[in-house]
Amino acid sequence: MSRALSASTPVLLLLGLASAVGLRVAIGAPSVAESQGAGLVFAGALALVLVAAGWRPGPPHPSSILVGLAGAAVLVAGPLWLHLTSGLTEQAMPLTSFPGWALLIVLIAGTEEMVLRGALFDSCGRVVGPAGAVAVTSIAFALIHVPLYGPAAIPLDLAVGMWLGGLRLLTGSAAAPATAHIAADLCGWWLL
Amino acid sequence: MSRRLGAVILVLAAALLGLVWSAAPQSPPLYDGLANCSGPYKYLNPPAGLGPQHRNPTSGSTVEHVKNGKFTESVVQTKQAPARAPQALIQLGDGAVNLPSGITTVRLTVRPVPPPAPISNGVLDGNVYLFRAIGNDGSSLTLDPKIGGLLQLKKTGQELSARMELYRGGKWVPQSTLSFVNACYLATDARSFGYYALIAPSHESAFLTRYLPLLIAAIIILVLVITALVAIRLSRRVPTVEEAG
Repeated sequence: MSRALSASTPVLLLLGLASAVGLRVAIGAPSVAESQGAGLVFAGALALVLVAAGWRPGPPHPSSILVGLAGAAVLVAGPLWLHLTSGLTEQAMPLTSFPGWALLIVLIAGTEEMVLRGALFDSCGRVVGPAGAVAVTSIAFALIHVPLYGPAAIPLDLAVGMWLGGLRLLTGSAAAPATAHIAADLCGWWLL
Repeated sequence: MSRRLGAVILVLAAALLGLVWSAAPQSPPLYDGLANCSGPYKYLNPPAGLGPQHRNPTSGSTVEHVKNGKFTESVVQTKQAPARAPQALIQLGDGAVNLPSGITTVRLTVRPVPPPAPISNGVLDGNVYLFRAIGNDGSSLTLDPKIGGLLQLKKTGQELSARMELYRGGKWVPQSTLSFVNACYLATDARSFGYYALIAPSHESAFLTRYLPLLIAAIIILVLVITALVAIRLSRRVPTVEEAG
């Protein structure tokens, strides 16, 4: 691959990511984080970015799934502690709406991970090395969530982006961060 | 090499996570997700332009029998259709309600009411809810402030910066508010029954917060576009003599 093409791939992926975020915000504002329609469009746009990039996920190795689940346990530890200490013991939402919500979570978190820790990580790694890939994908992960949760979420999302990037490096596969991301998001049903 | 680097990054990330959680333990608890609130917010007095699905908010009540002269834990929430979150609820623990002698049952109620007084310090975000506890003799019972209860109000989604307030002593008083980045409600550790509401800052700042996500998204996209242009420019620069050789 030529140097120009090699360098432009992550840039084009970042542009695709930014466009998907812009679409999500335009559809979901002002309650972007609560708009299921905007979330679905976002996941669809990310899937298009993956198709355009020609990235195909390999079959997940069972050990990557296990590492991902352990990674999710760490991500959930803080919210679980808060949940137990704040007395939030009653889940306000009825269980009947869980399947639809969970499916959307899997789609959004899954496509996010395939773009960030899959296609973008691979292409960044070729240009700036693995540490640089972790840095770029962590910053991108934090930035795409700012329109949803505000700048206050940047430190936490940076840390989580690093954690997911570390899982990617440790296992050599996007399956581990994808599993961690999806599992931790799903736990949010019981933790909020 | 990558595995070792991955382990180092995991250690750093774990330390950073611990730091962030300890520095801001109340918000945000989760880093991502989708707010699991469904259904339109139902207003007592809907803003202009909203359809019938935004009307007729519900009330809720429950009756608890006193056991051994002590109030036992309970929850009262507004009734909701299947697959819909309640708009208001309070969770009370054992002994949370002060019981004069002779009280055998306690009726807990929550209902949407008009504001008891005009709101001068902001914009009402949704309904005002009146939480009460009534004894079997018709008397109003009080919440034990040492125990309190966890009170939650659903957000309308129209005001990003709303906070919980209690009407007390003729004015609205801000309460310590628990906010969650991807939850559809705000919560407070209530120390008394009464009128509770979500109140956002004035219209001017509410206008800003409404369009803040769009503004931030535009800035992020602009930064990424500039980065892309610079990166493409750098990748196409003329190679130096050393590189060409």
